[in-house]
Amino acid sequence: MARFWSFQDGSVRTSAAAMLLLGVSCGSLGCFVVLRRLSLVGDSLGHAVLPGVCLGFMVTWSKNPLWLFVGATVTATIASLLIGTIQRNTRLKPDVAMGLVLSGFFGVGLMLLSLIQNDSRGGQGGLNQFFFGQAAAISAKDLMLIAGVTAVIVAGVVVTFKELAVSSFDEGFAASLGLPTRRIHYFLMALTGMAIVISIQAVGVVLLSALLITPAATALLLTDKLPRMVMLSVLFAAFAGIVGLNVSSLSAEVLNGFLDVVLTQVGRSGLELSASRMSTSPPTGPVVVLILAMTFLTALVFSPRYGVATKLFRRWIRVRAVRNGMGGASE
Amino acid sequence: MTDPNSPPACVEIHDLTVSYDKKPVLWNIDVSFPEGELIGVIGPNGAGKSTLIKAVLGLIPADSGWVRVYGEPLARQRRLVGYVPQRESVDWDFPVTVRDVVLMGTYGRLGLLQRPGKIERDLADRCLADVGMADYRDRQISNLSGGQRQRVFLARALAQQSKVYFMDEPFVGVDAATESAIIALLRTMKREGRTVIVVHHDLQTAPDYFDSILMLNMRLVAFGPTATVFIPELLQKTYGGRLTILTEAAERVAGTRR
Repeated sequence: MARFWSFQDGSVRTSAAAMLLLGVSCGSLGCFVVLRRLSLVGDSLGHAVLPGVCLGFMVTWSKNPLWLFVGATVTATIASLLIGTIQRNTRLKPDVAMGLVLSGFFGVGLMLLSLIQNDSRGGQGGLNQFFFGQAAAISAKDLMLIAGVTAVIVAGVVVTFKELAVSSFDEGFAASLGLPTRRIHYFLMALTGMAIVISIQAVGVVLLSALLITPAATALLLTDKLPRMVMLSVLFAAFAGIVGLNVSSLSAEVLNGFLDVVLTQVGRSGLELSASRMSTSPPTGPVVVLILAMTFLTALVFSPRYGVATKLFRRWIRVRAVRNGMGGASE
Repeated sequence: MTDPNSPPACVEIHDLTVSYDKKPVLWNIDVSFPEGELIGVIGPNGAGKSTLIKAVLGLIPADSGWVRVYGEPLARQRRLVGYVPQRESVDWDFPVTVRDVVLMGTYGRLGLLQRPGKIERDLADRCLADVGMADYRDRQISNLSGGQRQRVFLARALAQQSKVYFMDEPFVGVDAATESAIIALLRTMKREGRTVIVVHHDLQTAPDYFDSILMLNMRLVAFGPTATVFIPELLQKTYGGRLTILTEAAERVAGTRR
């Protein structure tokens, strides 16, 4: 544990830097995705990149980050255009269009993946990490790509922040100001697609949308100002990313040692102990998502303004005040 | 037909036709709005009142026709035109404060990367004071009543500092105090030489509020000074069918008001 947080290890440094950058990208874009009710789009694009990743792999039969990136970008673009076309030209509603595209593309991806894994050429080791993510496998080359794309995303959000804000709140008004609302929408979608593509290695295609949606949703429960929402969302995403990386990169021994201590403390028998031992370290995706879910639950219950517990507490105070007031009047 | 004594046209709409899903909702609208007037747009539900405003502002595509603002195409005159959309068109849970919304009125003048500064903030505060919402500056918008939300939208429009305004149903669902505050504001705007085009539902107040009235039912039924067009024959033509329709409509409107 201490070894992780000292960031002495080069590969730990690489993965931690990657998680931080992904937190910045997904956390900031996620706010606009959530506010524009595009959460399902994030999920669809997340699943739609799988065939692209497989095709990108098949170009060189190795995990060359550039080809994976190109493949993922191409299929994500096709998927989003397809969603738009279905919506415009049929009577089907957006959620149906997204459901269709999501499952269709994911199906193709799964087929390609099984083709690759049955191939004799080799080099496919670790491709199934793209399901649930393995941040420890992020290479220095991957990190460079992540850093470059994150720089583009941050620049894009900073430069168009005002335009993104007004068109997310009131698209008609934004258009009446002469802002190109359609282009703003596609610009946001393109940035989101890029964020999704660079996040695959770390959190995997299945749980990708959580990195976009959960931190933004948590932040929305805590603040009424958009710039603050973006900052909080980035903070939660980066926090969950780095802590999740830490938890999943702890070797099985350390985790089991930790379990030993905990279970001995609560007085379980040795038999149960061995049953609860972990054989391999868990993939990063689920761990990160779990941490995100816990921060969300905490905000849901304890948010100073919108928390469930806070509301109950305020109600209790009010009820008590009324009762006391009535008691005083009747005396 | 043009009276040489009438003020110059600030908005000229020529041959505007709009359809949704190939079904036409507005046919050949041809009209010029004179400068410095309060103009009411009335017509039954589905007459295309909101569609007219949206098409004029270029928010929905038109099949044919053009719109000129002070003699130039709208695209070159965006800053002269202000817009107050229907209140229900936005998500009031959006994380912005009252002043943030009003500041959006200044965005049309600010370039990319440019943030509203002290000048814009002071302007927003003045606009909020003009609609009686100065004390609500830092409130989150979801905590506001319908009337207060309408005032915030009006303050945002004021912050646009435009010459021509299009307002979509600003009087719907607001309290009596807000209604009189809005009409007082509209009259001030008129005194400042601005033109305001308002989609309006209430036939009882329409003749009191507006200098000119446009009657719409997919086609332009009539446009002119209130005294000359707000007459039973034309109202009948607009709202259709029977002779009693005016009184019926008036009663229905009166019945639904609070």
